[in-house]
Amino acid sequence: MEVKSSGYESFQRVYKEVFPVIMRVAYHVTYNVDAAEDVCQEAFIRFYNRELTFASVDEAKYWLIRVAKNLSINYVKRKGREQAAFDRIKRQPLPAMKTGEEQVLGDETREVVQKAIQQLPEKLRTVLILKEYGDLNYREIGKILHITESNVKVRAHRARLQLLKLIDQEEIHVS
Amino acid sequence: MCLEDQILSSYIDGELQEPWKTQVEEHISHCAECRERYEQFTRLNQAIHGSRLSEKEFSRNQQRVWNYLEKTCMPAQPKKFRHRRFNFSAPAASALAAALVVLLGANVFLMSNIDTAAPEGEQAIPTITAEAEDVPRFENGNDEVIGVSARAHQSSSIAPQELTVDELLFLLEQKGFEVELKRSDATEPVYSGSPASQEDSSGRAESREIDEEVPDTEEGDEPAPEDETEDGWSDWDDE
Repeated sequence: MEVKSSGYESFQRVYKEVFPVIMRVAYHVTYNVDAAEDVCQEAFIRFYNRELTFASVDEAKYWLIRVAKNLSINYVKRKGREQAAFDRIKRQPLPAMKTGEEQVLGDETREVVQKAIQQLPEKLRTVLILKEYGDLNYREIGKILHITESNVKVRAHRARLQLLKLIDQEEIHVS
Repeated sequence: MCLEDQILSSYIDGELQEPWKTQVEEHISHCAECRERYEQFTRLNQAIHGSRLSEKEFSRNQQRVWNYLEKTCMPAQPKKFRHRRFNFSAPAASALAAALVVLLGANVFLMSNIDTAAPEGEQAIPTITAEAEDVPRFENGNDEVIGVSARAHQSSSIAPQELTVDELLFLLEQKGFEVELKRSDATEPVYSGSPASQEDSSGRAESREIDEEVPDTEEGDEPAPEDETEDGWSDWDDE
């Protein structure tokens, strides 16, 4: 079904389906709810004003995710938060993750994970965020980032390996 | 280590195809070392998912952005988009729509009934009566008031004995009652006041209710139940 970005009905439909995805992606890139909201708003304004036509809702979704991802990365760069966060983390050793708390993560553990993700290089971080928070598969991520599926697979794996190093490995080992 | 990390990673992502998927599962079941590595990745994934922004945390943002977009991008839309949550199922939605139609029909029917039956409304509406001894004399002393009779709604809690005639008339008329003062020996009422606005207001009430009901009915019909349940709109605030 064709999707017109400026048509009220299709815009409404895309908004309902895609907002949660791009909100999560934007949030996990910026780690700032207000910034993520601004990113989503800007992405949908562009979507509406461009008067685009997509072959399906999924295609519209990929477009919106790409725009939101870029806006989020620009936001982080502009604010210099990436570097600031990195410096902060370097000074403070990451608290250990306790076993048994994985299911219901406290704020502390959440912060540990977020800080670790922020330290990943942009290429790995984007793939990981799209995979884990955008609920997308390798093929979809490849389409959004204009890279091959096997490239996505490699980046996802490398992102995991780096995260394991960044988050206290010994504590994760304990079972 | 027997299994490559890359294979485990793809397996955890649900991207490993058969027959490798089954082979990995079998291997993990008997190789402690690979199982440990697999569990390590799994714990990492649980930690990543645990820090995920939940729908509850951004439902307000979703609504706020929509409000903004609706206002700025699409000012001339014919109908308002509503931020309601429709949780009812398809049968419930049809039932609700049907109920609204029935209520609306009944409402119009009752309204027209009252209008036409107004002249002989005494049968249906209870009467409050007070004896003249309990009531201060009407200002115009020539007319001896012997009773106050008011056709009132059943819910009225006015006790005529506690009020002056003026207050009583004022109050009753304020509330839209028809008031009639009679001499005991006269057939014509000394005072007959019905709020001038009564008929108008009942007319207005009817048209107002219709104005309100019709959009409601449309609302009930409009969010096609299939759409609402299928597209997950109702899940906005859930979780």
